Amino acid sequence: MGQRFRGARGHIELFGRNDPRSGQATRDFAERDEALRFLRNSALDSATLGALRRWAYEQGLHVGQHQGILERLATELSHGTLHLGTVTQSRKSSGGEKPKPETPDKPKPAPPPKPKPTPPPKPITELVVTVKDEDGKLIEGAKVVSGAAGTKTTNKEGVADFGKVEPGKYDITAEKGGHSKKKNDPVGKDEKKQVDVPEGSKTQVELCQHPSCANVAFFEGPTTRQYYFGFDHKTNLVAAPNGEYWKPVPDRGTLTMPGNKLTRDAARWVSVAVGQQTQLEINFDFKGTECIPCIENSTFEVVPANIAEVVTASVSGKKAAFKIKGKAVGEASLKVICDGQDLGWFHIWCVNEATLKLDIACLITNRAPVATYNMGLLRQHFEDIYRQACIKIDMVDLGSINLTSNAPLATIESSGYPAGGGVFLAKSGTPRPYNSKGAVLNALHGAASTVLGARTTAPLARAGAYRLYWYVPTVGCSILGTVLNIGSNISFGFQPDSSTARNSTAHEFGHSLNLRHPSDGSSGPQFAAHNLSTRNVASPAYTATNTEPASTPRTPRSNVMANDPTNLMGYWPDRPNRKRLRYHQWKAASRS
Amino acid sequence: MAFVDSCPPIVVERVMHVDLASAENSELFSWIASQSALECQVQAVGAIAGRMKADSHPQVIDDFSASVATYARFLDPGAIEKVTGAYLRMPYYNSVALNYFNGLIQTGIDIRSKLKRRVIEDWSFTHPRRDAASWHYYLYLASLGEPGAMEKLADKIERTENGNDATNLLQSLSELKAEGVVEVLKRYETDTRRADGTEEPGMMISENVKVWLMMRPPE
Repeated sequence: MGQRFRGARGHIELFGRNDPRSGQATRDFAERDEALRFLRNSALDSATLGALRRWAYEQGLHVGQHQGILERLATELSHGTLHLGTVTQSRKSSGGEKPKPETPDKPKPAPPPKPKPTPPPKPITELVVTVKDEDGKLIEGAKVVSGAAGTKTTNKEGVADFGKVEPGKYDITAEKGGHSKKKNDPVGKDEKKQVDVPEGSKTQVELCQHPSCANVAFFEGPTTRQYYFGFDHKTNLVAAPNGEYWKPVPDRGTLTMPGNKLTRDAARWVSVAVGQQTQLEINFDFKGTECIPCIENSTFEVVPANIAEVVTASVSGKKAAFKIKGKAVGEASLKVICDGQDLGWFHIWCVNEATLKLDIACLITNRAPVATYNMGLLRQHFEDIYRQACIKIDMVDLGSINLTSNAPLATIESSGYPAGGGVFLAKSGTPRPYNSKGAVLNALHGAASTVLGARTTAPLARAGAYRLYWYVPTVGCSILGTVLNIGSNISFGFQPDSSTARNSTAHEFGHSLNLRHPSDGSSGPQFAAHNLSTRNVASPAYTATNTEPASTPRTPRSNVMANDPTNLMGYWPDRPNRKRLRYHQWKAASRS
Repeated sequence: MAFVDSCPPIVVERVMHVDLASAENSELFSWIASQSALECQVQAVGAIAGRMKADSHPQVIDDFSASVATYARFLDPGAIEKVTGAYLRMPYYNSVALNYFNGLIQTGIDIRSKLKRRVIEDWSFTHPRRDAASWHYYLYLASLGEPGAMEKLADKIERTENGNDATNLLQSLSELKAEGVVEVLKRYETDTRRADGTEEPGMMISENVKVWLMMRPPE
């Protein structure tokens, strides 16, 4: 039963949400103003207003300091949390409020307006649907369809509140793009059929929409050189075309990162210096409909975690920049994981960055005049290449060293030239000038070192530095450059400065760092075996990648690997683009 | 002349405030060389020596040590004292052994007592520029006449079978100005093993030894 109150012109009877109503008819107000007008028209006196205030308090209705009791009640009436019973003048009041005595000497108040016929009051029946994922995270923006109750979209709390509904049975569905009803299920809605919503109840229903997973993730390098150290897509080259782990797009949940990091699944290797970041381009792919929520459900894990850390916490696009940071010397893998399943990976080689000092000097003899070279471009070319192995090059120009007055040197030097004329270190003739290579170059280096050692003005030759000599014979040379031997800290360039000559000197410096030709019988540990075995095989055309330019088909060459033709230590004819060092070479290069 | 009087203001400013704990400054001395004359470069060694500390970055220590070796013949006793102080303060790292010990070798600074038990001996290396801290430590000890040091170096060479590896070790030893070096080199005057060339076999060890002996000043 509700609580009845009497005013000067009428009575009102209020029911709280849980008051039994015994089928009594109630009056509903669609608008708050309508309810407020009705209450004011009831001309409630101050005693009644006080009683109303106390009753409201007992009902748990807070009345604000600046709010009247009638306004508060009107609000609740319009929201349907309070109801107004239909009351006639002849009905007696009930409860603790005594009716006021009627005074016969006063004119009878005008009869209250006849209440409109209202349907019999019904108990409140409500339906609230909450949508969560399988881990209990609330899902906003899911479309919830509840039969006759209509359609609503979940709010931030994952709630679709249908409010008052007709009691009965409801088929309820929840659907959000890129979500499924269970982990690792296909994208689709969750559904509960014939949900009983009994009269007078507030029925709560939970449905699941779990963000689905992308089918696969894979990695490329970034297009901007300074964003990464080394990026290697050749070491784990697949055995057959289209054998990359992401081609064709696998079924969801079918990938597992192999324990062997050198598995030929096309997983990329990246190098990164301790304490520094490197960037990749992450790509997601799908078998069916592509969706961003699937991507956002991915997490990233470095195994083992002490080697590197993930800088990019989340990805929200099918293709995005992805960064990691080196933490300690060692090797690791980065796994993309979604709901416990591997989606993709790459491998990490992390090392302390090293700075190697390289002194450049030009040797002038009676057979080799002064040569100019662009230090800025030379430095840039070396940095570009050796950054792959996390090596910085500290390059200093020692300038020209004039050896023209060194007569003993001239004698030795002449043995490097054919007696009848021809290029320096010619590989034909008797005696073959190339056979004198070691003696001549040792003599040049010795003579230059003597001059440099006597210098009392800058620039000084730096102790412990590698040295590169430009020695450019007027008659030309049979080779572009060389070193005294593999691992010698002395190298030579024999060509006038050009992009080709700069690349040749970088190649020779590689020999100084112990790197060898693919054709060198001792180079096995410095290359992946499957790449090394493609020497003397025609090189196919390769399309450009983010990190490497396209290359054209070439006939077989003994010192070019068809699988990796632009490797720095091979003889790819397009010298300015012969820059690549791969994982095994990163590890093999000297670092001091 | 004092450092501040020898160097341009831009060099003075940077040397006095540069963060030596940052790898970003691992090319400090080549920058100084690009900005100043030899006198300033020499003075900068002493100035930076005074700022080297326990938290100096390994790559900065490497650069500093290499510069000590480079400018050693120009350093006066005051500068040597500052460099000695730097070596006593800054830590030793295996990764920078080549230049670290070369700085000590070229200046003759004796900090053997500090280094005892700091260099863990590992003779498994094959090249003097790759994981060869023990090699450089013993070059340093041999330069100070430490008994047995030269024999350790000679033993490593003797145990090296590969001609190219032996060539690189001998070449490294040939640059050391110390008693006993010539004697070790002469053991290989008839060695017919060859170094590895880039395309063809390189010079025989005996040929290289002949060149290195010629290039050495008389002992």
